[in-house]
Parts: sequence; C-alpha cells; structure tokens
Amino acid sequence: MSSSEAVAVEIVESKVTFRFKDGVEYEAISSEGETLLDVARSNEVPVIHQCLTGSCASCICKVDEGDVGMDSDRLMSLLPSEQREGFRLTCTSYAESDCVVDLDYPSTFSEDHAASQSVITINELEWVNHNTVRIEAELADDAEMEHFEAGQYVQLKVPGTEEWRSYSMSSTERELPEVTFYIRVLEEGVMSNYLRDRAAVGDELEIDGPYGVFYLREEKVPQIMIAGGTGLAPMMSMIDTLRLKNFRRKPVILAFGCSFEKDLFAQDELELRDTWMRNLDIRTCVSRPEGEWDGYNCRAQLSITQDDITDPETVAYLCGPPAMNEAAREHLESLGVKGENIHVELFETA
Amino acid sequence: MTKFKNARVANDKNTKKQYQPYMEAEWGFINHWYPAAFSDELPEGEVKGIQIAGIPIVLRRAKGTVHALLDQCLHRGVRFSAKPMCLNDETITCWYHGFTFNLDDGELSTIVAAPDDKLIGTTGIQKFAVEEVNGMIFVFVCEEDWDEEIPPLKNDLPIRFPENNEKFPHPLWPDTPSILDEGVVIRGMHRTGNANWRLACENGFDAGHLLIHRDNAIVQAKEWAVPLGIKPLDDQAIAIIEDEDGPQGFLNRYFTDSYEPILENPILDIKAYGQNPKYFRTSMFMPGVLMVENWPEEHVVQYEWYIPITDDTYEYWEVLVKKCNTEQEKKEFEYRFENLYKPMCLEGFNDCDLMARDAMQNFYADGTGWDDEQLADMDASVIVWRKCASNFNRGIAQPPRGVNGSKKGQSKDLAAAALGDWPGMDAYATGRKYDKS
Ligand SMILES: Cc1cc2nc3c(=O)[nH]c(=O)nc-3n(C[C@H](O)[C@H](O)[C@H](O)COP(=O)(O)OP(=O)(O)OC[C@H]3O[C@@H](n4cnc5c(N)ncnc54)[C@H](O)[C@@H]3O)c2cc1C
Ligand code: FES
Ligand code: FES
Ligand SMILES: [Fe+2]
Repeated sequence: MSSSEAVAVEIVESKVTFRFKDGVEYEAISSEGETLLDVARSNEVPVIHQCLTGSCASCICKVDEGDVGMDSDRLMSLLPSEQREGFRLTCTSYAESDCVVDLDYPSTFSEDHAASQSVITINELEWVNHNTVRIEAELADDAEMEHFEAGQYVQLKVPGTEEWRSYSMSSTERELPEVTFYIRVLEEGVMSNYLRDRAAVGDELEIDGPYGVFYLREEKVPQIMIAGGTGLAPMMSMIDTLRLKNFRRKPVILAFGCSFEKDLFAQDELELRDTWMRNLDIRTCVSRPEGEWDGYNCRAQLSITQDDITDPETVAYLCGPPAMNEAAREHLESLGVKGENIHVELFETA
Repeated sequence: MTKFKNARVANDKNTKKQYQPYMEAEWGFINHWYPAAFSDELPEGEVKGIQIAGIPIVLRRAKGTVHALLDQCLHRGVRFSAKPMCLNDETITCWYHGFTFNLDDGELSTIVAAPDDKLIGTTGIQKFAVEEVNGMIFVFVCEEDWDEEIPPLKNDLPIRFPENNEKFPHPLWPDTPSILDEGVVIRGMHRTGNANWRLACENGFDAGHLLIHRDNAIVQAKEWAVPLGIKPLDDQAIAIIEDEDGPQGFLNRYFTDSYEPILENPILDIKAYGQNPKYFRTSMFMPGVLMVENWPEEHVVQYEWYIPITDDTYEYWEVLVKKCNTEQEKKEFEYRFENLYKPMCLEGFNDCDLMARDAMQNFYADGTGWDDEQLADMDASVIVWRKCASNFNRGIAQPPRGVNGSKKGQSKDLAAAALGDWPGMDAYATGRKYDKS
C-alpha cells in the first residue's frame, strides 16, 4: 500500500515490538496518532533519535512484521528504495497493525553513546580545495565526549547564530580530544557563510553529540565504502579504525567520487593509508574529468564490479548526495550485496 | 618506487603524519617473530614467563620441544609461570585451582579437582608458534584471532648473505653470518631497559650518537678510530629493503661516498681519537632487529632486538654471531666473548646506549616528546625507520588489559616480572625451602 493511503487508515491501538540487534525486545502499545518514536520514548525504549523531523535518519528501523505507514507530507532523509525495502524513520511513522520493527544496533547503544554538550576550539582551518575546509579542533577539557563510533557525527552551532548543523568526524575516538571535520562550503548557507567569511583559528563552537547510527559494523567481512564529496569524512574515520584494529585480512574498497578533479581533496591522506594497509583499495573517481585523468572516469559506485563482491556478507557504507546514495544502493544490490548490510548516511535532505 | 628517496629531515607535523602508525605502536608491533629466550635458559621440563608487546607468554620445554602459551589463566588470570606446575609432559596446570591446558593446542583438558566440569574441552588459552634455531627460541607473537599462514621466521630477521652480496656489497666482510646459517656460533645476553621500545630501536642505528661511545674502554684499548658522528650526504645513503616475501627495513651505506664520518669539531677542538680504522655497517629490519656488520671484531656480526614488554620497558637483546670452521676457532671465539666482548662491548660499550634510552624516556613518556623533538640532518635514518615501520608492520599491538603494565605505576615490578622475578617471589622461595617435594 502507498504511504498516503496508510495515514488514512485508522487504528485505535496496536502492539509494537522493538527488536534490537543484541536480541533484546521491548513491547509497547501505540495509540492513535502516536509515532513509533513517541511510543518508544514514552515507554523508555532506547531508540536512537535526534531531529524528530525526519531529516537526520538516526531513528531508522526496519519493519519485520505488520504494517507501518509513513508521513509522506514531510521531507524525509530516507531513500525511496529504502522505503520499498521496509525501512522507516520512527519519528515520522505510525503503526497500522501489531508490528515488529528491527533496530540495527544493540539496545545498549544509546546508553553507551550518550550525547553531551561542550565547546571546541579551532586549531587548524585549511582550505583543502576550492570549496572544502578541513577543520581540526580540540574539545574543552571538561568535555564528556570520550567515545564515539567511527562514522558518527556531531552538531555544531554556527557562531553568531542560533543555527546547528551536523558534521561527521573524519578522526577517530583515539584522537580525542582532537576532532577533525571536512566541510563543504556552499555558495550560500549559514555554516558556509561563517566558514568563508568569519571563521578563524581560535574560534569556539558549541558542540553536541555524538549522534547517528551510521557507524562501522561487522569488521571481519569485506567492506565497501562509497563516498561522494565530503561524504569521505566518516569513511576516513572508519578506515583509520579498521587500521588500528589491524583489520587486514579482508578487502576494504573505498570508492571516492567527485564531478571534477578540482573537487577532490585529502589525496595525500588517502595515499598514506594506501601504503599502510595492504588490503585497502582506493578508487578515485572523477565523473567529468576536464583534462587528462588516469583514475576512474565514472561515478563512484560504478567503479565497483561483480568481481569485488567476494563474500555474501559484504558490508557497504554509502555517504553522499541522495542521488548517489540511491544509485549506489541499487547498484550494490544488483551485484548481490544484501540490503540489510548497506548502511547509508545522507548529508542533505532533498 | 620507494617513498623514502629524500632522506632530508623536515620533521614538521606533515612529516609526522607520514609515520602515524609508528606513533600509535606504543606497545609494539604484533604478528611478528621475536626472540623469547636462549635455548640454555629453558632446560628440559623448565617453565619460563616472559611478556612481549603486552602479551604474557609462558614457555615450557617438554620432551625437547618448546611450547608457548598465553601466560594468563583462563580462570582467575594468574600467570602460570608465577609458580610453575606441570603434572605430565603434555600439559601445564595452573597452580591456583588446577585448570590444566594442553601444550599443543591450549585446550582446557581437565581440572585437577573437577574432572567432570562442563567447561572442559569447550575453551582454552591462546597458543603461539615457536621456532628454535642455533640456540635461540623465537615465538610468533600474534593476535588471538590470527588465522593466516604464519610468515617464515626469516622474514623477521635481517637480510642474509651471500645472497645479498651483490645488492649490498662489502669487500671487507662478505658473507656476514646469519642467525639461521648452519653451524654458526651464537653468544649473547638480554636484559630489561626502562624506556619505550622505539627509543631503544632508534638508538640502535643512530648515526649521530657515536659521541657517547668516545670514552668507552674498548674504544680506548683497541684505539678504534670511531668517528664523532656519521653524516648522510645524499639519497643513496639509506637503502630501503622492501621485498614482499623477505625481510623489510633499511640499510645505512656507511663508509661509502654517501656518508661522511665526522672526525673533528674545530669549534670545540674535539677530535676522534684512535688510529685503527673501524669499519662497520648498520641496518634495521621489522619488527625492530638491528644488524651491525663487522662488529665488534672482523667477520663477526652483532644483532640487537628491543622487544616491547610494556610501553615503558623493553627487553634488550644482544647477540654475536660468528661462523667458526674449526672447534679451535669456536673455542677461541667463545673465550673472547666471555672475557672481552661480553664485559667490554655488550656490557661496557652498550651500557652507554642503555643509559641513553632510559634518559630519553621522560621526554617521550607522556607522548609529547614525539611532537616536541627537533630532529636534525643526522636523524635521516630515524625518520626512514619510522616510515618503514609504519608501512611494513603486520599489526599494531593494542594497549593490553589485565596484565602487568596495563595500569601505570607498575613498571618496577614489571621489569622484575619480565625476568620471572616476581614481587612475592621471595615468599614463594621461602615456601619451597620447607616443602621439599
Ligand atoms: C548526519 C549529517 C552529517 C553531515 N556531515 C557533513 C560533513 O561531514 N561534511 C559536510 O560538508 N557536510 C555534512 N553535512 C551537511 C551539513 O550538515 C550542512 O547541511 C551543510 O554544511 C550546509 O550547511 P549550511 O549552514 O552552510 O547551509 P544551510 O544554511 O543549511 O543551507 C543552504 C542551502 O543549501 C542547501 N543544502 C544544504 N546542504 C547542502 C549540501 N550538502 N549540498 C548542496 N546543497 C545543500 C539547503 O537545502 C539550503 O537550500 C551533514 C549532514 C548530516 C545530516
Ligand atoms: S529523529 Fe527521525 S529522522 Fe531524525
Ligand atoms: S586461576 Fe588458574 S585455576 Fe584458578
Ligand atoms: Fe650505541
């Protein structure tokens, strides 16, 4: 059924079962008009969430049994293909019958990764290409953030405004209290304007996090990472984490794509990791090269071929603009990667 | 193409980034072969506890074969080696509650007072591969879930000769002997130093540190013309060795046109003394083994290891290897070892190195020294080594849990522990006096 029909169906009460990765289950009753997240929150079910508006995708779940409709009037950071596969954002969906939903993280995750608020000071601010800034900052001494998963993000408050924006760490937990970000500077935007016009070393920014369920999962299987633009940031954190864990037995493929050569960045950092990790295969893809280009001449996902899928349990991470994420998911599924092993992070809500 | 062509030193933040894995290897590199003991330290039936890269390991010789297991009981974590108990040739038994493990696979095979326990046969402790060659016992120290083929020991030892004579010729000492050569005589010693293992490694091939050996008795007695320092001149000074299936590291082309021995400093009016030229060559290989060719006497080679025990102690190994063709030659070499080289070189001369490494530890212990140091031209090989180690290691040892040294402030106990000399050992020895079993 389509989601618009779904909203129209009136159900008075249904039983919702939340099933976490560690096997822990919570049951709760959903009354009319309550989102799944409302149900979870009023019953202390540890479902991860953040924005409550369907844009951060952290509250994602997968419907295993029953019908769950989703509010189609709102912008949503869920891919159409994900919707078709039964993924829902709990903050914008409603139980239409008794149902079972799977959360792809252990029930202890929110407890182990509690967000906290603090301040960072910018130590380095470097333009790594014509529209991308690399920021290295240090957390204040009293910051509570001692842990985060590779791939998670934080929110930063844009100085001089009341606006918060999300950014993925490219650094690892091990480097705390230092954190590093790669941020694309748009022609117009609250954070973008700040970075272009006012940002300076020594600036302090409020920080809130960590957040998100886009993080490094099963490590003992081949990994495919597909990144568009600054979507490379969380991948860098994951690659360094794999490296530190001496993960070297299974292949890791990083497909990093940009439209033009001038959009590439962090090439030196990637090259170093290439020499340190024998199992790492970096494919730099430029879809519209202007001059001579001896890397891949295609969109990032298309550098992945059937030969790369050597294990049915291959895990994939996608982070880029919606069109890339969508196309990459379809491509990987057509090559035989299981839908539930594909993890997606959206940097913008379209 | 090697990445180390340019040996010039710019040790800024960007350079440091290039050897980040080395900086992360506070506890050493894992999945490598390390020497664990000399054969004569482990007679038949004996048990010995050591620790490498934060991993406690117990060695036991049974029916001639050396076995290596994790030296940490599955039950409550005590070290088997603290009070060895072996009830037969196939097992090692924990002295505390009698958990008994197979030597050949580490499986929990029985419990002394609970032979019906359900745990039996379902669990065990990690077992390590062992090789014993020419009087040295090597252990492959690996992660618990290592499931690949174990690389050959030769890949974790310096390059061999004559197969490398052409690539790295030296007319004065062709055919440098190797630990692995048939019929070589190996004599050496090991002891614990109180510094991070990397500081020790870097001292081993430090081209600028010969100053500390200037006044050494052996140098004076033999009137060796040891330079004040040796300065790299061009990008041929250091050769990177990076064969896929072989030793990986680098070699300093000392006493060629690529290095200039510094014999005097007129500003300070100081000169190298000694008339007798002393030609030698240093090279360094993963996981941290030094080769000093033609040292301390002609046609002898000195090998050194700086094996991480914890992040602030290391086991310093010094070994001399000589090919002796006759029994007489062997006898004479052993005599010189005992009466000259051991006291005056491995001790005397190298004691100065031991002191220098310990002296660096405070600066580096909290991690800031690695950022604050100001390396100079003389340190080109230090940077090359850091990059080699970053690229060629098979894994970075994780800070361990539940072992001596994982909690800070234990390092004194630790040095003792590494030698099997425990705090509380006195009480044990006293107990033994009354228990004549
Ligand atoms: C979970 C998460 C993680 C993120 N991590 C990163 C990261 O590591 N690096 C990074 O550069 N960005 C990241 N983003 C995007 C980031 O949060 C901001 O959306 C982006 O920096 C724009 O902010 P702004 O204040 O400059 O523009 P805004 O003032 O928010 O927007 C200005 C206009 O640009 C549009 N817009 C917003 N984002 C984009 C975009 N990415 N591309 C094109 N148009 C856009 C908006 O729709 C709006 O019309 C992440 C977003 C999310 C949700
Ligand atoms: S909380 Fe549901 S999308 Fe953000
Ligand atoms: S601690 Fe070893 S048997 Fe109990
Ligand atoms: Fe020395």
